[in-house]
Amino acid sequence: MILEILILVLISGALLSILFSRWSSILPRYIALLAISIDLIILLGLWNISAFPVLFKSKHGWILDSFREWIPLFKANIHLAMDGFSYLMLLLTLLMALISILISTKTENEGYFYFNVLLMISGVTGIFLAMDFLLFFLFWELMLVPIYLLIVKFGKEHNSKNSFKLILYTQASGLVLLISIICLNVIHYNTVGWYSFDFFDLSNIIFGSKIGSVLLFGFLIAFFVKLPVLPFHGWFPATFKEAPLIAISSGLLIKTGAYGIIRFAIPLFQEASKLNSTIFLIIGVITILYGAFMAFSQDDLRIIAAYIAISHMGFIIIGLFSFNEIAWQGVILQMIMSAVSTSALLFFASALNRQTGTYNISQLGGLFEKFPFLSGLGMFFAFAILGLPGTGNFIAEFLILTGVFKTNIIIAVISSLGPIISVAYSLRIIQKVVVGKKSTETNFKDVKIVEKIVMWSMVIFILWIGLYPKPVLDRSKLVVEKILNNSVFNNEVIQKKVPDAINK
Amino acid sequence: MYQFPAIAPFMVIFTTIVVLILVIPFYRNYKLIASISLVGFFIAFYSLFNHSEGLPFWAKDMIFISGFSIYFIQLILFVAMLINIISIGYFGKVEEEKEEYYLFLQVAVLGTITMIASQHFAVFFIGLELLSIPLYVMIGYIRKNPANIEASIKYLILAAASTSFFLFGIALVYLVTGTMNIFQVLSYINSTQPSYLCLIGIGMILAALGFKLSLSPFHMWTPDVYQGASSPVTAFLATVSKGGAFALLINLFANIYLQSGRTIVIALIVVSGLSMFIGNLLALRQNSLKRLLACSSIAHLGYLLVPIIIGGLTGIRSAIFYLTAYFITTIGAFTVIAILSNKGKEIDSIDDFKGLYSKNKSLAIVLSVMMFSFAGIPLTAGFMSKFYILLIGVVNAQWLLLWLLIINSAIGLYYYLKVVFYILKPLPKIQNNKSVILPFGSAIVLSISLLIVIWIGVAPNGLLKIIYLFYK
Repeated sequence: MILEILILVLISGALLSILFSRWSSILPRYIALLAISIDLIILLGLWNISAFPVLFKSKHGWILDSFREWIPLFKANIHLAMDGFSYLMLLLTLLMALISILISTKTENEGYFYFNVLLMISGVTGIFLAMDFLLFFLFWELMLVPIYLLIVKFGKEHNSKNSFKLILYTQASGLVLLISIICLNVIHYNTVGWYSFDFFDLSNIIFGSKIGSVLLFGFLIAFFVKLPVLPFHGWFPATFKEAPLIAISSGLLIKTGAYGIIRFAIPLFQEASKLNSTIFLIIGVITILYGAFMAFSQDDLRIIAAYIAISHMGFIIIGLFSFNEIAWQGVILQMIMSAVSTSALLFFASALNRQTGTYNISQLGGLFEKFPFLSGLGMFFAFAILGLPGTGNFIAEFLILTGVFKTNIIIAVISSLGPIISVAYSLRIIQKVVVGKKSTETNFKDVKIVEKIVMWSMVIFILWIGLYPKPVLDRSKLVVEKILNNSVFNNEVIQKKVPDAINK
Repeated sequence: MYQFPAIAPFMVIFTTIVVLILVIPFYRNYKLIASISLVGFFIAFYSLFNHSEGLPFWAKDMIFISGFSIYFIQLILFVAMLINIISIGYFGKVEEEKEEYYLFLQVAVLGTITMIASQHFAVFFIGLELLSIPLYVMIGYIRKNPANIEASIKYLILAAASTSFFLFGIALVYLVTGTMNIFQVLSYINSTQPSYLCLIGIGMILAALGFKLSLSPFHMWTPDVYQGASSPVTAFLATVSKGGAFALLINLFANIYLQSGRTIVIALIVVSGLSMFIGNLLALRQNSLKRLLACSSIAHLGYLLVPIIIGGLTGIRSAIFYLTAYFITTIGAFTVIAILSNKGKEIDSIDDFKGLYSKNKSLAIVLSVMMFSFAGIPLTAGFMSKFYILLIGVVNAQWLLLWLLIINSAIGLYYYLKVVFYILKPLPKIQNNKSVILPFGSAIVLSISLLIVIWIGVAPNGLLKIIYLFYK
């Protein structure tokens, strides 16, 4: 019941805000804030039990589980479940949504804007909770349409090409995903004798390596497009240019790709993923390096942020396909930290844009004199992105590299070039923007209190996780153990506990 | 008279026609005539609700009404009601003699339900002509508008040609099989290897059906006629007239066994693939919304052939489900177009739809949702229906058809989203923003279609249960 409430609150918030937009133009914003706060309060109420699998009203060691009949004729049901991992993702999503709404500026069509934002957030929430594949697919696509509608109305570029690229990539890969889902259903029928779209039923089937590989590729095409990973990343930088809020949401949305791989793709097709892991490791490494090089060579701060995100996703890929407990802990942490730091960089960029009117870092320079506060924060976020020890990003990358090192040394060594280049691009940002000679005339507008609070809270969050990641790692540990404690992965993996020095 | 419920729709519509013929000369009141027509449709629709006695119903060799037909007839009558309501608003301001329009509407619907209930080619032909001849007039109704007349002549010539093909095909089939009963022909094809003569006959019948259903390569008339005709008539063309022809498709082509009817199935696959590609590729370059919808209907009929090729009970069920979703979506889209064109002057190019969101939010929302439904985006009826087809496709392992469907759905996305893009664009400030008034009836139709599309998209179980009930 609680899980359904989480989603329903957001959807009703969306409908209410577009309905009330007729009479008042400030009401939608407060409705949106209210909806997200309600959900956050519910989630925070679950904080204590989310560290331990509680078996009340649930099976398979999940915290919460709810089941309702939906389309008996397709054998698809509304099956929602939450464990530590989805809890973390949900918390992250809702917090980032809250922050982005607090920061966003007023637009002409407030009702429309918050309608789409809330629909998108509810889509993401549904993805993190859905355990039935048709439902999962529905939410997957539901995420997409609001972004498109937002870009069309509020995009700065006024070019239909960017939005079209987004839709084409995601929809086409989504159709492949749909076919794979239906194939799963049919295979289940052929094996067991009854149809089902439910994840729990489907995870009882062991897929042979050949058919498993085909279906794995089908799933991964869709998830790799969302992630975004190298061959399919074309839509991503373009989307970042459109508007800051949209960019942040895109930053959130890409986590759903990684979530899909962790939750569905690898657990269902274990043999096939092990068999094909080398290809994916190589894709991951190329993504890391490609993203890093491109981030170094761009001038537009938003596109730099996009390529940084792509580079971080490469880390996630190599971590995932090394099937290593340490690496997976790192991956989950990296998902969180990458979302936070990329969003932080984008906040910085948009605040900067408001003051100076440009996103182009070669036109900025020497802002430390005029905006000490903003520049200091920008420096901190740049340091966080490059993975300075003491920030959460460092922990994540360290865990991932340690895990990968155990599995495949070559990949680990090549990927460690990634952090080195990241130093290069982060320091380039700082050098061009903050220090050095002043190059543009700037008019000083006040940094609002709300923005200050938000940015400070992000700083505190990054530092906190950097020094005390235990709460996060505790919750993700159980999920990681549950998925990886499987003979397929156990053979070549040396299980070691996370070093105690970090677990303080 | 336990057989009455089955023939009820025919009797009611026939009575309505007679009443209209008697009333129009003496008392020419537009609202009255339109209401009589609407009431006629409604009574026919309602009469089918207590159908369980007296089914299935055979009238000799000619007419066969089963659960299948009842659902289909009710769907057609429902759509006809909606079109009737839209036409009231649309033709209200036209300076013509508009009362006869409803007479023709009734006759055309009578023809369609005859086609659905027919078991014999001759009866089917009667229905076909009852449908086509009023259509010639309806398409060319506004005599002052040259586009209407042009579209009507195009349709007339091509329809006459296709009807001759149809008759010749029936004659050939009769020559070979000795019967004109559709089901007997089907069992003949299934039991014996049909000779070339028989195949040519079937091919000609397929050609005529392809014309009516705007399938490739018989689709040439579709963009021109859809664009030239008035919006409610286009809506009728796109839904009801296709429904009748589709009934023959289901009866004759949906249960062909592969051993004996292999050529026919291959022909269907080719037609389906061609329609999908040609429909989508043509629609990519269109600048007029009505032409775009016309080309998209070519593609949708291509998609609809897929469950027919798969065949069997599941194929027929999913085809009917898709047809229902497609009808409602089409009605919704054309209602918006009809509302926006006033006084018979059609709104045409996509540029006229720019900034619709600022002019009238509800129209923009409805049109966008309908576009999403055509495109197959989840939460809409279009997605659920496409999903059903994909489901049975995978179960029957029809990979070629599935990949065709997927690739074409992806292509189709472009032009549907282009329309949404234009709708949402902000209006340039210079234009004077005349606000659009919605006629009352059309507003109801809009809400009904929007609600049904979203209802089927979110909770399709209700409709699925209904279909399962009728199609056992």
